Amino acid sequence: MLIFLVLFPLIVGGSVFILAEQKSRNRMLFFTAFLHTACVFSFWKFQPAFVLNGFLGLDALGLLVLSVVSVLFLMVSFYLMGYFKNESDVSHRIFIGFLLFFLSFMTLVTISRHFGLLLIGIEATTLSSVPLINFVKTRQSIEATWKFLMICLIGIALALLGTYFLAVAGFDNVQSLFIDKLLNHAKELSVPWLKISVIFLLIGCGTKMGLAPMHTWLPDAHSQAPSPISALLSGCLLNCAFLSILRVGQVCFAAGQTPFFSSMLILLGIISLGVAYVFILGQEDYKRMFAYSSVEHMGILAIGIGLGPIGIYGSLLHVINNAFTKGFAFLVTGNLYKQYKSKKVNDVRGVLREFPITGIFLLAAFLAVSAMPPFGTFISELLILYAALIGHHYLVAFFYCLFLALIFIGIADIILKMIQGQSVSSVIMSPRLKHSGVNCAKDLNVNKDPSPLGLRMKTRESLSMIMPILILIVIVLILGFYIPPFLDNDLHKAAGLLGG
Amino acid sequence: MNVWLDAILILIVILGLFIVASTRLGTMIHIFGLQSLFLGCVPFFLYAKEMELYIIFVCLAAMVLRGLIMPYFLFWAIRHVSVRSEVSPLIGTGTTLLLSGFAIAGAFLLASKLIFPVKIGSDMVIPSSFSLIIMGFLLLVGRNKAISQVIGYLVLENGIFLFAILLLKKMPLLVEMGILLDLFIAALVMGIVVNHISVEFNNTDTTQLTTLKD
Amino acid sequence: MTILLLLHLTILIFFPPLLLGFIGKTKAFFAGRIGPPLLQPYYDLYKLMRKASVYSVTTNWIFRAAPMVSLAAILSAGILMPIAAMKPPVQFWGDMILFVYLFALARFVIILAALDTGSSFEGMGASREATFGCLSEITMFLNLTILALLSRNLSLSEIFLGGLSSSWLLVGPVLILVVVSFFLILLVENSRIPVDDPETHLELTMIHEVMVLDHSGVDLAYILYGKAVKLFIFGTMLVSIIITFRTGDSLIDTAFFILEIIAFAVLIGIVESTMARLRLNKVSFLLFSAFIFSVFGFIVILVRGH
Repeated sequence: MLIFLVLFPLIVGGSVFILAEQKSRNRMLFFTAFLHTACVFSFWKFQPAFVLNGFLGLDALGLLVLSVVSVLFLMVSFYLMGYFKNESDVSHRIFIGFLLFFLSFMTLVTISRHFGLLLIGIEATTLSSVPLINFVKTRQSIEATWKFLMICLIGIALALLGTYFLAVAGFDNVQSLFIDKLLNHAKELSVPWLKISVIFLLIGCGTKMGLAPMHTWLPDAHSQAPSPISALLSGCLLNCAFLSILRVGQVCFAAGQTPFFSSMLILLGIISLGVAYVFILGQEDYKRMFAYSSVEHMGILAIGIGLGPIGIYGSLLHVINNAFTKGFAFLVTGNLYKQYKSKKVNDVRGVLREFPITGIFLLAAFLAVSAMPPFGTFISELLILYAALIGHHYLVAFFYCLFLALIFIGIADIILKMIQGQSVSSVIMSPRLKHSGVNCAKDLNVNKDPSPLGLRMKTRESLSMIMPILILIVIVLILGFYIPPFLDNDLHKAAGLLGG
Repeated sequence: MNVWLDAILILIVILGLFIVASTRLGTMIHIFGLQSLFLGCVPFFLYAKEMELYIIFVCLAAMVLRGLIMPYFLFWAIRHVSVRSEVSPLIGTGTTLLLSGFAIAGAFLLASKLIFPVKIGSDMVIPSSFSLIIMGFLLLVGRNKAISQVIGYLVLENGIFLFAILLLKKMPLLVEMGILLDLFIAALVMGIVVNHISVEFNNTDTTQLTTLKD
Repeated sequence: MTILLLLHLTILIFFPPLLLGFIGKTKAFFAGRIGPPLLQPYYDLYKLMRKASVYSVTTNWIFRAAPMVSLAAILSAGILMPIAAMKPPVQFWGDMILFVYLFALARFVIILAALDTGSSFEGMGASREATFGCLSEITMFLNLTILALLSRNLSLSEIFLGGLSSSWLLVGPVLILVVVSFFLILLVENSRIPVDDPETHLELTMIHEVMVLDHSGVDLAYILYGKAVKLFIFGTMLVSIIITFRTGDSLIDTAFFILEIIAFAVLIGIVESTMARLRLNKVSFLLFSAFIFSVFGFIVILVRGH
């Protein structure tokens, strides 16, 4: 069953290259994603057995991330049907093929029970997402792709070295990189080698996850990739990288080295929050803003893991919330980009008035991303704060609250400007006025009726570009009020694996 | 003490120094290929007494992939590029060379602190591997040409592979091969992107990739 | 014993110009010429010796003393160096350090003399010589330190007379590093071709030659002779590092040694004929390489704990 889960998207992805028609390719994509999700949901009921000599297996952690990946992928593939409707299908063949490869490799990451295989999976996700990021093939997207590729590959190379160090740590008695075997013999690992291995793995996987000093690829890649891909990168890929860090955490916990691991994660997390704040403030590109918000949320996840049992629970809950929130936030930016053909904040004004549905979605995205109460993100971030307070990590709690508040202000400043006010389409006609605020406002008041350019740009959002966003918003909203027992159970089990 | 193994390791590090010191892309690729071929020989000396079939297989695969196919492919990626030398690197070759010297010293000091759990054929394997990793980093940081950065990455990977050779007995063949293949595909993808860059920008200078910033 | 000492001194004093002759012949062979006779350097020296020196009015005693001091320093270094299997006339514990600094002294006085002329052209050469000297000296010293560590002795005679015999088997790779590094240093120190062209006097890129432009007659003879002796000593050292095997019979050893050193001269000739001179800014690069080679060797030796 697990092998099928990996191989099926791979085979379909290969066959997509042969298919001639764009429509059938889209259907193929959606069908595969649907089947994948169905399979994954069946795993909640029936725990699959370990296969391939124990190389593949699913535990509570893997199941959690796998479900998130699968659901988000389903939604994105649904969304893509509408997204591609009006575009010529020049390189869609490659795009959809690699999208399916991407799904397959992410699945591999979540179900691998061997550190070597895990790294192969992570490297494969990097490589398969290269054609996705470089979809539009402009100079900027090539630049973003190059940075993404180089930085992530170096990160993975370091993680690989870390894995080898881990193998050396268990050279005497473990003699394998199987996670289960490592966990069973964790106490016998040589501590210096384990520590240096943890450092390398954290830096390596942290690069892929977008933790702060190593995050530089993330904003470029997220802003240049097509929006559905940004959603996948932010919601799925980063969580897969996070999962690999959690695997390291498992080993550390079993070996009794949790304090070392936790302190490093908290440090990286706080730095991520700080960096995210600095770059969100006054950001001119709304996709970059959401990308930096991803850095922020990855920081929150890292801090949560470092804060003991409740923090771990909160962090795992936040994995789900953040993935879906970021997923729909980037899909909304996709809608925006379709309408306004610009990623600049200044070019987007009066969304609520011109495109009410997208406007409301954008507002929801803002509230969910900055963790306002009705949304699930609020609960998970609150749990992490609670964990910091009862663990007497007052300094961490202070910085956590400070940066979250500042980031809230930064995002509010940007998004509210976009949502409110009049459409800028009329202002675009006279670029001279664009930068002089007073004149601009006067101009807007006088010129009530939208210009011809504004009319032409205004296209209706198709159903498939609304539904996935709506579903994701509803999921995050529900998680804000109610955590279903099966999920709660899995979260507890997963937290237990990490010592929570 | 295994003199031949030492000789090969020293040669590998010196070839690394040559890569760091040279500014011509073609020379760098050639030397990289040579280095990889020597790297593939290391296990034959390290495990001379306990040779097994899969070790030979991994080594031959590494030699062919890294030593022959990759250089060929890198030449393919720069076939359209007219400026084939690093004109003004970020960090000059002399400085990089001197830094590499320090790096080698550091690598040897670091390696003398980390004690490998079992006795290995030569106590120079780990320091050499660290040296290559640092030299790869220096190339990545100090060079402007995309292809030199790719070579830096590959040198870094060579260093990691050298370390991996120590674990060859303990790691399943599957994983070794998987990683080798992954590396190969990584180089392939990087080559294709370099190709894209050279077509789009008419050369492979990454200093032009500066439009995206905050 | 006395005869051996005499033999040592004879070779040291009379043989070096012949090396230049061999280099000249080799280069002529590669260029397809007959070339000057082997003994041409002797004729040149003889000619210069008979001529009177001309001194500029701006110079003082430093300029006059420099050629003598430098030749004396180089010859003193020569009597510390064992030739073939013969013990040198002077040896003591730590003479290795004196050896390095005698060459430094020779260089120093020549630089002073060059500055003494007050010519900007010679000053430029002096500054170049000093720059490259700094780098080559430290590398030279590092190489000797490696050899001293290997043979556990600080005396040149002990190092080269048997001290290294087992090292090739134990740490051959390190010795290769030393040899490569030493060869590069040798090219720089003796202003041979990839670094400096000993035969032209007109290029702005030259280093050593430009410093001695104002010397004439006997002074120039001293300087040229000193250079030949220096090349001979360096060659002897290189040969002694590479070939540690000796029969024990002094005469046979000496005969073999003469052959080896001639082979060395031919090697230099080949290098000079096949390579173009480096640009001046690449010379420091060459020196860096030599330095890093010997640092690398030094680290390996330290780690090995020899």
